[in-house]
Amino acid sequence: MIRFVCSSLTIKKRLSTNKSSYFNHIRKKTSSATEYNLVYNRDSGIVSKLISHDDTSAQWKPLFRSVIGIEIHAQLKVPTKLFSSGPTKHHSSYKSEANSSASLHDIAYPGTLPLLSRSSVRNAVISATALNCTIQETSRFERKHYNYPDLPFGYQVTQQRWPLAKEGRLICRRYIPPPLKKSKGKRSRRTKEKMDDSSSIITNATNDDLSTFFEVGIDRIQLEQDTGKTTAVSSDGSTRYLIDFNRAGSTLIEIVFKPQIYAAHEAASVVSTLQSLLRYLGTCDGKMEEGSLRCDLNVSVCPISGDVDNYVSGRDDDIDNPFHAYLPKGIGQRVEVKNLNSLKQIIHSTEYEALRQSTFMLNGHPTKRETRTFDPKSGRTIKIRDKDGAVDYRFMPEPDLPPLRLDKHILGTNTLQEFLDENLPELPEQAIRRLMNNNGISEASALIITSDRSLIKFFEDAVSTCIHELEQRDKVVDQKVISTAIANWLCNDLLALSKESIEKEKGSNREHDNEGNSYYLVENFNVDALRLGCLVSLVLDQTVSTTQAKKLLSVMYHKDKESLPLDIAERNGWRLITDMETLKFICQKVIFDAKNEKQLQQYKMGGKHVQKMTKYFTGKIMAESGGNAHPELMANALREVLDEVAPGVV
Amino acid sequence: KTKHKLNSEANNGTMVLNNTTTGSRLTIPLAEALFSKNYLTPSQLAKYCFAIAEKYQPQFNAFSDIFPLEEILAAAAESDDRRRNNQPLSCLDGIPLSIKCNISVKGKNLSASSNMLNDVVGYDSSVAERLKESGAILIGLTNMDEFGMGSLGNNCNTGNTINPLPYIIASRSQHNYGDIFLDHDDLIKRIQSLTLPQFIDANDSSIYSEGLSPGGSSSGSAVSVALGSSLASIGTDTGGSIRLPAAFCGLVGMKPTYGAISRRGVVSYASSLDTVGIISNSTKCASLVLDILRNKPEHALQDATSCYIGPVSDWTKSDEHEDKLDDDDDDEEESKKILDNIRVGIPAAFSIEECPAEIQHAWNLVINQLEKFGATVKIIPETTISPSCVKMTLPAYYVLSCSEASSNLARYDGIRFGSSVDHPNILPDDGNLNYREKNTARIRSKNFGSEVQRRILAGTAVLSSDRFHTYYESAAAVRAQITKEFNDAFRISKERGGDDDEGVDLMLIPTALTNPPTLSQNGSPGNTEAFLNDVMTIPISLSGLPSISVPVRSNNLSSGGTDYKHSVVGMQIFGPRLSEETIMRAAHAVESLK
Repeated sequence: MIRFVCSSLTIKKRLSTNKSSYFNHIRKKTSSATEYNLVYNRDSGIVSKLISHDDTSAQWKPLFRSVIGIEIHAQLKVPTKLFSSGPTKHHSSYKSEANSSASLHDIAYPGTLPLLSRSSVRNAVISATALNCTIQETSRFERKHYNYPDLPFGYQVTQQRWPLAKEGRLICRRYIPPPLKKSKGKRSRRTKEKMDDSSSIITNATNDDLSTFFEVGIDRIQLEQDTGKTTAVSSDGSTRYLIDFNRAGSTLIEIVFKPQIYAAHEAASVVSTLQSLLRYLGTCDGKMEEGSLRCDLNVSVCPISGDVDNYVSGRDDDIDNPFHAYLPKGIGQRVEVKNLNSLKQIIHSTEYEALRQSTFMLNGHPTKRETRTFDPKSGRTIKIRDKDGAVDYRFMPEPDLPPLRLDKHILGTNTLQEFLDENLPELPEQAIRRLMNNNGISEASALIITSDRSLIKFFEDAVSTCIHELEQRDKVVDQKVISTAIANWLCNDLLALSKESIEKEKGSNREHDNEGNSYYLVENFNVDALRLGCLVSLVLDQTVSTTQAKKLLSVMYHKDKESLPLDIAERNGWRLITDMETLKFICQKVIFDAKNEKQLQQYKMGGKHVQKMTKYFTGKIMAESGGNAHPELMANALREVLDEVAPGVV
Repeated sequence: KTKHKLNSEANNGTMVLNNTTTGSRLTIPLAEALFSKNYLTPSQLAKYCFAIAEKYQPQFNAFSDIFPLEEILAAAAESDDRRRNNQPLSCLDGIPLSIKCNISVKGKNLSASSNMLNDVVGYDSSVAERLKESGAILIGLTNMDEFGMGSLGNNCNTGNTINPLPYIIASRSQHNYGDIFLDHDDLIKRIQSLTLPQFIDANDSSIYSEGLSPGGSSSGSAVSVALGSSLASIGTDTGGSIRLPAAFCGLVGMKPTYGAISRRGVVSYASSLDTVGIISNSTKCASLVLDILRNKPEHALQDATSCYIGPVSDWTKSDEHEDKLDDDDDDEEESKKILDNIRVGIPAAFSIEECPAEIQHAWNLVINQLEKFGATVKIIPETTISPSCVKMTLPAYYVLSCSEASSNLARYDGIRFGSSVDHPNILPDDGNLNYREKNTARIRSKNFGSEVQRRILAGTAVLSSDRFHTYYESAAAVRAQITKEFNDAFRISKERGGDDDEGVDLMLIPTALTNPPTLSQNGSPGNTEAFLNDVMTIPISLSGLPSISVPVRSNNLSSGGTDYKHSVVGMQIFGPRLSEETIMRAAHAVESLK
């Protein structure tokens, strides 16, 4: 079996950081493929061949590039099935025990008939509009036939020829691999095995020469039914297959991207951007590990121009391919990799396929059209069937369902536009721009706040409260300062508390950050927007110090989940002293305290003692004030008092 | 005085099949009248119907399941109370009915006469819900051609259903009365004493050595009504499955507009054609049942292909019209008004050479009758409804219905339905299949009858990607064309009397062109002969139009003969979508033909 080198970093970087071990790595990792010494760049999508190397340098020749099309199945977040009243996992009466939540229709019981779920259509329309698609006022359902035990009807109801939406696009934020982990102050090299799946997005455009955004076209979005689940159980050398129909009939939207994706990390960008968009819209929970978002890839490789004629490329001459026009000249036949359910699997299977197909192209035996699956254990793709084994789906118009017309009955409004005006929220990219431009907050904070609509609402409510509080106290503070302060308190302090308590509760589990985003769930905050707004107003008008405010927040989060911050501060005697006379009084009290006589004398000696003793007095004064002294003003007061006591020392 | 009144009501369901005997069969309005006068209780009637069902089950095989007597009587006892208190749930309260076994009833086997569904327990379909709400008494589930595939009643997993009409007619002449009562006293006495109608034994070779087909696929429904074991039966009609058995058994068969009665709970054969309908003794019975079963806006939407037809039995309450009908011999002038301003079209395209003389004769009789009631009858030229298009409907129907059937029956993969098979070699060559596929193939081969398998294979073939355009899409085009031609022939405006509109309100054609064929033990009659009958019913099905088949006495019995052949033929009256009320009125006029 051929194995391939997998690299997540650019070749240049690898060579400059760790040359000799890198070549050892190649030798170790490639057995029969060493004859070609191919490497895939996940960012650029280029497959290169090692021409020559010595211990200090290497020469690579780029040969192929990958071309990728993606089909995503997103399970919509609706309480019932697409065509039945059977509960989904988003319904309060859902039971997860196998087959306990399937209705008669979900198991294709004779005589049951489909009734279209309006909320499914509405969620699909919102999703498709957010993906810039043209919504079709009339679409149709069709039956796609194939025989598999977890497909109860023997067909899937879908919208092959008359989809709900056409011709859209998604602006994707580039995926970058998670930052390298620190180990004992030394950066450890990330290896393939250690690759984890945490996603992060570029927050500025400085990464190499890749721009932050790129656009991918969407061919169509269609409504369809999900299948049940088959589980293999092996015992005593025989395998039994168990079928669970709980999921059968759930609503999926299939989003078909045009093959305008050219690298593994671009594919991951598309999926992660889509994931956060659907989560933001609230139309899909985006949980890839639970199968709420599943991905099929079509991968082919194409010789880099100029070399086109040097290869027997087994060109993609499939005239039925609707994307023929988008494909570059000389491209090989596409290979479909089905049912990927993590970004890691998407990246690894793209890379594996790019290298595998390149190798065969170099061999002179290009790969044919086939369908494969990804085996996470070995990191390889495995063939399921070739083109000859393709299923004839025998598409037929669905006779049990009339054409889907987006009328008042379905949408609840007179027109589609009216429906969108009422139901389509501000989209995340618009919200990010608005928060950055109007509120002056950083892109990093804006990205966090816009990850969830309830978080935006929380932010806005907190800002309003804060403004209101300050107005009540006749304090004038610039609105951008308020927004920035709220954003910082929210994104740094409150989210840190939320994260800490969730991790304590569920054990340290990165998955929540990666997939569930549960730190950001407003429901998990113990501090509501009103209390956070009040707290920040106390900081901004210097009622409390930042340090005190952090203590306050901690009390609000862990102990007192009701009281307003001002009440808690007063109860604890936390109130910032800003009055100069009071501060000077406290300073004098400490300096002239008999216990501090020795220190005062040392101060008077000047020189190196000045700084040390000032620090000493500062500590004592802060203690005397019960931690309430305003630090800078107190420093000023102390300086004044000391100048009076020991003039000319400083 | 009471007696006269009752007789008058009884005559609403007048049905004369034989010159030598005049009298009536029991109809729903008559039963209601007897209930309301306390001459009869629902329990007595239910017991009587149950006894008929039991007695003739071995001979005619109408039922797949006759419900237990205790169960029937428990329901009837509740009906007794309501009737006694004069608080019936509906006009059907206490009326014994039967249901075709592809319509789901809670706790009963939903078999569609297929071994594939032997273990399937039913839930309440829309039809069952409506009937239970109405207080009707369900006697049992009736046999059918498996999944509705067939028009002879011979593709059933429990054997053939036999047409009782020849025995009934022969009995009438030999026993003075078989199923027909002379007056209401006679009827009450017979019901209360459980004196069942005596039909000639099937072994009596003087009638027929072999059974005649009752028509299909709602064969058991027609037979159960013909025998008197139910006053009406709910069936389904995909390409003629209600109208043909009604015609062959001398009954009224009503197929309403596609979707007028919800299909929720009906085992699908061809979804875009399957229509729930009624087989009964009279037009009035069919109207009353249809009114109970039709979708109403106040009910929750039952299925996505539902439509709403208006009330259809209001005309039965108009005594004015009834009196005219009853006394038509005396008052011809007034009777004309019932179909005044109604234009009936005779589509020339359906007047084909193969039409036997007896049927042509019946056709003419009905035309005269309609005219007598005030209707204008005109020929619809072949330029409006073309023979070429009508001819194409037959293949188009088979392409579409087989396609949908292959799809609808794909769910029976042997995992949830169908008993497992221990036939390792049931398929000659299944070497390329994996274990699961072999299992599926074996279970389907064993549990589906041959006709079902034939249609699944045909449907699978025409849906394949290389045939879809040439077959399926062409068939869909024929369907659209015949629908357009029908619509072109119908009056566009509902305002009566628009002279510039040449369109008709109704059309009249025969239901079938042949006699009921003989069911031989060795095999079914030639399939093409069966198909010939379908050409009269299928175009209407493809267009989803409402249609009723009414029995008409043909001339060869006027001499007093007992020959069954063409003693009674079915004539079909159909109209545009949602025109049930008009159709019923016209059918009622035809019914009074003597």
